[in-house]
Parts: sequence; structure tokens; C-alpha cells
Amino acid sequence: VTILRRALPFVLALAVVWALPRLWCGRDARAWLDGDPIVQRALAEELVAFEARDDDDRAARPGSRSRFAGEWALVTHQMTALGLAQLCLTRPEWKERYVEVITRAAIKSFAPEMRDFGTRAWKGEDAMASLRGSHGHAYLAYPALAIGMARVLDPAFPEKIARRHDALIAAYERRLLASPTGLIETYPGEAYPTDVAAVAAAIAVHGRATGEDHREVLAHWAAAVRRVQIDPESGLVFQRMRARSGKPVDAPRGSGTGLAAYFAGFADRALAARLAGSLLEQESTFLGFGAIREYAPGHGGPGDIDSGPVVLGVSVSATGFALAPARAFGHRDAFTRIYRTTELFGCLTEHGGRARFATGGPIGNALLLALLTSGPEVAP
Amino acid sequence: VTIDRQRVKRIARETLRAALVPAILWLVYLAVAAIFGAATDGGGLVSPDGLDLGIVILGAAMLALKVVAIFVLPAVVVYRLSARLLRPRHDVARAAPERHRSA
Repeated sequence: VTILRRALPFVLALAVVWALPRLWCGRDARAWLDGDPIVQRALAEELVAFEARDDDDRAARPGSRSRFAGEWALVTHQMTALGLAQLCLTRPEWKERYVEVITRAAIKSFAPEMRDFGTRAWKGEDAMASLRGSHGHAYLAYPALAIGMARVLDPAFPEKIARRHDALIAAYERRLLASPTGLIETYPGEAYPTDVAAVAAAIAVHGRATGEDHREVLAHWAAAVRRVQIDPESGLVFQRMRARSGKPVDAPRGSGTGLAAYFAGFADRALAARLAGSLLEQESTFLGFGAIREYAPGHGGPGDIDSGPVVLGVSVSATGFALAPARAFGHRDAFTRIYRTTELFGCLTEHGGRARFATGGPIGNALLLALLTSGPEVAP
Repeated sequence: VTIDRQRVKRIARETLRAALVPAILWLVYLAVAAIFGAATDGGGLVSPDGLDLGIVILGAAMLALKVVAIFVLPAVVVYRLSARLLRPRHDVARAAPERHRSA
């Protein structure tokens, strides 16, 4: 009895540590998995409010000249458009509320000032002014994908921008078909399989919007990904490669694979499911919380702009990006564990009918809306 | 049914004693989280404009408090409460006058 009296408090305390944090941080996981309109609408409304504020903020605070500030803004608008578009694909009755915001965010991400960082990297060569050239400019696939989703949903999408979008997609198609490795450059000498997955996604969604047949280029890209861009041991994609030779210049990594799996879903369901499976094999778990290891086994390195901080081998980006393929391909348990970690460090706050992840800021909220609602955009 | 008033009082007292400090820490966490939420309205922990040291410190404090509030404090409350309630009655009876004397 004495032993029981001394042991029972320990056992009860351990049971609380085992059960309570996972319950508390995972309380909305099922709602996101099942597409609960209340949680979806609250985050969506936060981004609608952000887009409304953005034009005023931008006028008052001219954009930074840093490459990452430009990428930051571009990705925020792109992911806002994608997240809201995914909601409208699930609930067509929400189009009335969101389609105008989707078009506005997508067009903003396609604006010349948003790609200044890419133009500078290519020593003054603007992507839209060099469509006949062979330089990849793969970073512009991010807004091209958003524009494509806006065109799928918005029958009143501006014709002039649609024609520019058509021309960009035609250039991407030509460049990708000419590449035996299925890689085109993002910046001079830098090719990222994840960015090329965004190119493939943009091409696939353009086909949905216009009815054009892009099957040949998408099959070429998917075959090249399987043959060249995936590490055969880990199943993760290499983070960075040489475009012409297909030689890896960085390790197979979780952050690149997570985002590539999301983008690949637009173009090739089977390939995306394969990447999702490999990515989720990199999951580390503790007390019901899940996180994705950044580097494949046998590789290592510090965190960078792609991964965010790497702590105990797991990265912020790989963990967040894994939400999309986990949801889209029905890995419910993994989604729930990763969502708990997202809630723990993202710090979901609700106010006035809107919800936001306080630590993430607009880019975190935009990314999470797209990732937490992934599924309806996946190719059949 | 007879209610042992002494026992009920004792349980209430023990519960209060076990939960007081954790409850205060919970309130501190909620306050810091609210301040952080207000301070980052429209932004986040980091932004393209760079790092705001005040926000970073506030965010780090909030995250640390959140981990403590969710993982540690409930377990401490349960441990202390169950340890006190499971203590033999004669220990409790002996402990009470000692506390009065020391007070």
C-alpha cells in the first residue's frame, strides 16, 4: 500500500503528460482533416483581411531590395490565392465571397515588382521579357500556379493577364521538354526540383483552366523526377541540383520534398503520393507530437532559408509542408501528430471571427491555409 | 448519507494549495500570449523587414511558458494533489498542528 501511495502520483502525473498536451494541441486537428467550415473560414477571413490591408501597407512601406523579402511577398499572395481556391473547390458556394480575393492575390503575386529579386539574380533579365530564351526563371511558376487557379475559378479573370500567363506556360513547356533531367533553372546555375514541381503544377492547372493538353510535358517531367531527382535510398528529392547534368549539389531534404509533394499533387497524383510516403517516413514523434527530419539519413547540415530553424534534426518547413500531403493522401494519424506540433509552436489565436497563427505572420497563415486544406486540388 | 465536513474542507484546502502556483503561472502565460498576439497583429515572430528583438524575446518567453503550461503544470498539479490526498490520515493529522505551530 505504501509503495502504491508513493507510485500512484508519479503514474498519474505521467499519464497527464502523455494525454493532456496531445489533446489540447490536437483539438482542431480532426476539424481540419474533415474540412470543418468553421476553422477554415476563420483562417480564410484573416487572409482576406490581410489582402485588404496589403495595398495600403505596400504604398506606405516600399518593398525591400532583398531577394527574400521579394520571395516572401510573392509566396504570401500565391499561397493566399491557392488556399482560398482550394476552399472554393471544396465549397463552390464560397466562390461568391472569395473569388475576387483569389484573383486579386494571384495578380499581385504576378506583378513585376514581386519578381524584382529574380530579375536581379538574372542580372536584369526579366522573366516575362525573355520568354523566348532558355533561362528557366522557375521562381515565376509560383505566381503562375496561383494565376492558373484563379482562372479555373473566375470566369471574369482579366483577359490581358490570361494571355501573358498563356505565354509563360508555353515557355515553361518548351524549356521543360528540352531538359533531359526534367530540371530548369530558378537562378543562374541553381536548379531546385521543388521549384520545377511548381512549374509542372502551373502547367497542369493551366490545362484545367484552358482545356489545353499538357500530358506530354507532364509525363516527361514525372519520369525525370523518378529517374533523376529522387534519392533512391531515402525517397526524398534532392534540394538543389545542376540543371544540365542532374548532379545533386545538396542533400535529399524534407523541406524540399514536402513542398514538392504538395506541388506534384496538382500534376501527378501517383508521384505526389510516393513523395508523401517517403516524407512521412522521416517523421520523428514524441508524446504524440510529430515533426519531419530535414536531412535524409546519412546527411546533415544547418538550417537555411528553405528549412527555417533545424532543431534536433527536425525543421520548421519540412514539418509544416508535410501537412498538405498527409491530409491529401489520407495519412490521418501523421497529420494529427504534425498538426499538434504546428499548434504548439504556431500559437493559434482567435479574435473577432478570425483565426491566425501568431508566430507565423501573414506568410505562415497563407502557407497554413493552403497546406491545411490540401486535397481538392490534387489531380485525379 | 453523512458528509465528512472535515474531509471535504481538507480536500478543498489541498486542492487549492496544490493548484495555486500553477494557476498563477497559467495566468501569466495567458497574459503573455495575449500581449504577444496583440504585438504581432499583422506580423509574426519574424518578418521581411527583419527581426524585432522585443517581439523575438516576447515570442520566446511565450513559447517557453506555453510548453510549461501545457506539459508541466497540469502534471505538477495532479502529482501534488494525488500525493496529498493519498497521504495516510495520521500523517495529515500530524502535519496540521505542526503547520499551526510553525505559523
